[in-house]
Amino acid sequence: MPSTLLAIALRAVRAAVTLLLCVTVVFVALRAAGDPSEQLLPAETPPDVRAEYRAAWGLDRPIPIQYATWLARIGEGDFGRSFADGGPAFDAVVEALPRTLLLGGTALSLALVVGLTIGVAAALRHGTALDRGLMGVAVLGYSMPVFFLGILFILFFVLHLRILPSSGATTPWHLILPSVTLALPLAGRIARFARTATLEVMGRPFVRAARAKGLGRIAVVVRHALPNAAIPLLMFLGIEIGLTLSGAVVTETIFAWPGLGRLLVDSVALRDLPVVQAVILTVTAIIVAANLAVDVLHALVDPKVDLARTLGSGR
Amino acid sequence: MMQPLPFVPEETQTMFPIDVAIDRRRFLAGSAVAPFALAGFAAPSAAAARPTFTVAVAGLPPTLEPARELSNVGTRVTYSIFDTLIRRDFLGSPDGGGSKLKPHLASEWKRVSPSELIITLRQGVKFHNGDELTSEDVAYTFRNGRLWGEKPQIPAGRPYFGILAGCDPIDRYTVRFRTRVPDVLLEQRLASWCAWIVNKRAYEEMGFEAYSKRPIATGPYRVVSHAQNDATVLAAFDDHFLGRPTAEKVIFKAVPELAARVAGLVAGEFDLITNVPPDQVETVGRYPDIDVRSVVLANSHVLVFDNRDPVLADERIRRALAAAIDRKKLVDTLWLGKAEVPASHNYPEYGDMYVEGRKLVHDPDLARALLKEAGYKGEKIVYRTQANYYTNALEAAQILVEMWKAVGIAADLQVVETSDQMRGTGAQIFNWSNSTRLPDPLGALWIAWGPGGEAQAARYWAPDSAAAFNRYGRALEAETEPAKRKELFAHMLDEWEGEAPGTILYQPFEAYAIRRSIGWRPTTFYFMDLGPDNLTFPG
Repeated sequence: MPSTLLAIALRAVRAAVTLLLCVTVVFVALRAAGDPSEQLLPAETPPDVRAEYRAAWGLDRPIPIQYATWLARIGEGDFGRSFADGGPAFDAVVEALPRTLLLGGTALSLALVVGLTIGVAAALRHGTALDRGLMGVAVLGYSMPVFFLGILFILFFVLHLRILPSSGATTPWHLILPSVTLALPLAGRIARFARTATLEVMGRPFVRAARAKGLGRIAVVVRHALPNAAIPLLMFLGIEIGLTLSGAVVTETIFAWPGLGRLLVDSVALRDLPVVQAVILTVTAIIVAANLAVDVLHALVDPKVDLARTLGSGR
Repeated sequence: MMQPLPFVPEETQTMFPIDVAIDRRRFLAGSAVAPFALAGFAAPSAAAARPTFTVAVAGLPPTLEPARELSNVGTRVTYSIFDTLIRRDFLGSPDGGGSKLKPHLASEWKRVSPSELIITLRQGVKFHNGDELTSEDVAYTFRNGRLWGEKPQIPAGRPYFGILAGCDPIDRYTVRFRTRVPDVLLEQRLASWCAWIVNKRAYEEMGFEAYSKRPIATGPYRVVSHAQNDATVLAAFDDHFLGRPTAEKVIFKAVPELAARVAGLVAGEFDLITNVPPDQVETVGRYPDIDVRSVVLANSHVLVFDNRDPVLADERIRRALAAAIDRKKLVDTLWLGKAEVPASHNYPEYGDMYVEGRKLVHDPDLARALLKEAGYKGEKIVYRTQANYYTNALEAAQILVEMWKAVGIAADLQVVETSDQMRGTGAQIFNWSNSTRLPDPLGALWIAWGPGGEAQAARYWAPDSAAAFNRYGRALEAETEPAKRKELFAHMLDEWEGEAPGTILYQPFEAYAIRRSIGWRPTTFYFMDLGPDNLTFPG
């Protein structure tokens, strides 16, 4: 399959260019956004001491030289050292990443189960009160901002009921509120999408044919409708992974979940540029890889799709 | 047997079982996560006779090297891990800002000359690793190359100890400090910022970065674990020379969201929370078992008037800007009356150096007269502030603009994102803050507004205008006789107010909310004293 391999190679190059563009924009924007010494040193720090720190961090050199040096080091696997704690910037990312994957993975699984159940149930009861009720809930779920939902949950479950911890990642109990907060808007969007996809598939000739040959309602849905509805849903999930990661930034801050989102917020606040760059690079890589994986999966599950064409080379 | 959870350090995994009792409601809620809970749950520890004290803070420092972390989030934690040779008795004064000195790691000290001090160490003091404190550790802490010298390891130490010429052991328990010039503040320096004593052996064996993450010192608590975006866990150091700490463990937990901090405190997850903003003090204080304890900080919010600007080059306009401000109104409306308007750049903790009878003038008529005299024609004056860097900065700025408008000044408020933008081209007035790092004018006014400070270095305060102030300041540095020092300080204040390169708004307060049954007092610095004398539990 040389055309498929070529397509994957081309897509990988495209992904690398996306990564490079993203980190370049971030690199320049961060340096234009203010002097890290203002955040990292006390207000009365004398200018000569401030200058000493700036020189130690390499910020006294022109931006193009800083950029070239940084890029060359990235090529050697060196992501630089944190301005704040002096440790390797990538180590901070490696430490925080598993927690974000745990939170994101739990939220995504939860959202899939809840969203698909609601979406398919609404489609099967299309036009009924149940359909309208479930869709109302779904709209409420995805319309509510994560920061509002999170604080609402804290007030209700921590302050009022006092049954769950408010913040941190110390025990499994701590996973409940952040993962539900992160999952609910996503579940709402999945429910809406699953309903539309299922309704569309249910009206297709092959579903009518399946019914005509005497299959039961459940068998029609499980064996014919859902696998076909899953194809657009798969593409949708590729985009949602990025949204889940961005949602994790807010959720992790509200619930003090020590993941990548918190690390990003803290590092931006401190202007700890090497760490911010390492986080952005990692997150971008995850999103690009997820989208690539979705494209490949799409071709695998849909026999009508040619992988080479899907990935952009089979014209 | 309890299995370690994959996402938390093992040291912190027993926090939940100790802190939260299981009841019917929690059991029902927990059934939803039973598979996780079975893997991660442990029985409460009955052995812990002393409580765990959990503090929810808005942020944690990147490291625990005390001289690297001079911010509020840093000193709050490192104060419990490290000790100084001499102790500033903050709590000896009702306002938490006492400046008397008392023996600590040093049992006594003696002035040999204005530039020489002999320190005698307390014997038998142990580090967390079992080493005995000796003069070698002190000399290592203050060695050339760590806080001072040509290329110091920690340049931020230079403003405090750049004055040192040497620190040499005389014998196992005696050390000689020498300064380049006479320094009346050396004892205060040794009781304050950057003066925390490190363990020489651990520092050398672990190296700078590793020591910074898990330091060994002599303080009442030793480090168990530290993760900046999660928690710092400390355990009682029962061999501390002042006695057994009252808490078994102290956990500083990073909880950036205020609602989560408050909810966690009310629900019993935390014992104390920091950074309660003024507009939440009343709400949080309404809970019967919660007490809000506030302290006026040794810090002032100030405005800088840029002398390089053609309009503000005239000192009469700068003085008019200062005279138009009703500071009491700002304090009453924005700070619940709990912040303080200081008597100029002149604070009671200076002790004998405090100049009685001074005050910051609020006189709108004087402001109008000065503007008229200066021929001010209503030129626009740009005032820049960041919205959230200083608490209440934006609200204060809006009120200030109206106060200036009332005397005829056309101020244009611009809200910007960064500190650079605030000071950038086009700004004529911007926000700043000045801390009283040492209880003396040389540790506050001179640091911020002297030739080494930003205001003069960046020429916000023009050299001609600052000349007399600098002359008095240099004389003060060299003077040791108390009466003459006070006279020189009064001259400095006259110059600073007369030339008005800036002005003070107020000293803000910091509010903590704490379980009412726990005894603890805050200090005017962000240092949190959790020693046995200041942290007590019921029963």
